[in-house]
Amino acid sequence: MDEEPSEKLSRSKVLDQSIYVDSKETTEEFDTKRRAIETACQNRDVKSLVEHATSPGGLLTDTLRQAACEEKELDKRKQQLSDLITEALRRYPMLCYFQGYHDIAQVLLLVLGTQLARPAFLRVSLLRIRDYMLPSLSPALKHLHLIPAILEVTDTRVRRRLAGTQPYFALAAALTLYAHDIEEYQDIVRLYDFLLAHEPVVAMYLFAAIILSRKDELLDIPVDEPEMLHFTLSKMPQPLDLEGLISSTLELYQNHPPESLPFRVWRQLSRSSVLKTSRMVGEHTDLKEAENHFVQQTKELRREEFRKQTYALLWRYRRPMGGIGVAILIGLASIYIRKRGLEGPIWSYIGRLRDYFAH
Amino acid sequence: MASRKKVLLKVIILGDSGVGKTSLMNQYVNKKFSASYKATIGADFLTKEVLVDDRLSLGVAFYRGADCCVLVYDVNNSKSFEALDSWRDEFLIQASPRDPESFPFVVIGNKIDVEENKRMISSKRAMTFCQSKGNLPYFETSAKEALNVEQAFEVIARSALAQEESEEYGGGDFGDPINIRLDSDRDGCAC
Repeated sequence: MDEEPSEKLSRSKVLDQSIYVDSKETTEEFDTKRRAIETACQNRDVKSLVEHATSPGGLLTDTLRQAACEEKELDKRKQQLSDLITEALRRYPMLCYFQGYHDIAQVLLLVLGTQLARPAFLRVSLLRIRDYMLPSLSPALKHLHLIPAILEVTDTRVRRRLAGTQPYFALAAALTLYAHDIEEYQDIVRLYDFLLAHEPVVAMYLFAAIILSRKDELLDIPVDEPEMLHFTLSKMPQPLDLEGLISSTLELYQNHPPESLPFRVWRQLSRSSVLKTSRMVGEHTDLKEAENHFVQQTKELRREEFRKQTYALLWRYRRPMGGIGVAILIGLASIYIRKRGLEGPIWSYIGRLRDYFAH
Repeated sequence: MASRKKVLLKVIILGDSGVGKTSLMNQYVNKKFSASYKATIGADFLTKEVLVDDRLSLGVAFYRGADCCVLVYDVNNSKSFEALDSWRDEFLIQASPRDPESFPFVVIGNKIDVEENKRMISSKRAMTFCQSKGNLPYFETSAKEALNVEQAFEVIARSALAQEESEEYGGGDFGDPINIRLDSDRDGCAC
């Protein structure tokens, strides 16, 4: 990987070195300094770059000067990226940052520039990836479960082969609209053209299309190595035939619309899920409405979380309580929180219940 | 000659974002270090064949069925050190190992190549923590300069192998073991 720059370096070295030699220094010192500058560039060590630029010979060669400048440019870009994200999170404090949010921000920033990227990033956050910014990962995982359902109606054999592993291999692709895994600029911007022109669920069909395009490779992986499947599928195929994938994605999507998918995967999504509320792309969509959906889904999540916790707690102490009693209690607790919300005395009640059984 | 049996060992590496989990794994498995940072989303997974006491075994990821859990922090970042406890709890909840008290954990303080004056957590402090958690093995490493990585993973592999063996002979997956200890009488009924 480092072949090219060092070759360039050695070509320009001949010239620059002769100048340097004029300043009464030896080749060895030149090399030492060159290496030090390269290290400083790598480590983004601005302080020592300033020292090198000042000491005899300065930054030595134009290649090194370019490298030093690139570092500064990179710092500027990082700052812009950080500003864009900070602004969005300050504007909508209820949105939870997730690892990979910056991958999306970065694409928008590079294509649109700082000014246009701001409104676009807010819209993408609220109307595309809203479910991924909730306080829990479980809505995102529900999106991923659409993938095996799509495979079930297209290629049962592949779906069955993947049955040993959860579809979490698609997590990074889903959360970042593929920006985390597709590194070629031309590829990712082409893909964003496609994804942003269609409803959000299409991104899941794309992942199913990617899996189907690698069918042979996947079937070669031994059945008892689900981790290997995860590892393989979590990376994009190389080379990446985007145009082919895009057309097979559309075909899957048109032949098997989300409502028609098996395993009740579509029904299991919240009515406030971004996959259900952002179906008409291009239609006037109000960010305020998206905010309300977000709040609604947060409430649902809390309820779900509470149900799970209660269930786990009661299950642990099932013997002293008796099975039917447990079921009834959970049912009552669910109705109670549905009516009264989670805020209030129910938490302390559960806490007391836990203490009671723990002793 | 000792028997050469292939055992799959699962090692889980946990820790705050940016402490160097991927780098440690890459340094150990591929003997490589990359200066550019790319956050891992979800779980990553690598395998390596190693020889432990003449026995071939493998390493790494996903909670369930884990044989050893490695907790990583950055010695130049106190928050990542303070988070170790919650990572340990997270693991114990998610993986729910049969015997949480004896499950092997190894602690790694990474990035010791960074200048001394940036260091936030002293070896002494880290070792006190490890002692308080039941004498957890502790290593200070640099994934960047390949310092101590091999040594740390050797201990990790050994602990994982010992854990795997104890599970194998300890009844395995046959539900709750019948408790025959005399002092356990009062545990029979909690009410």
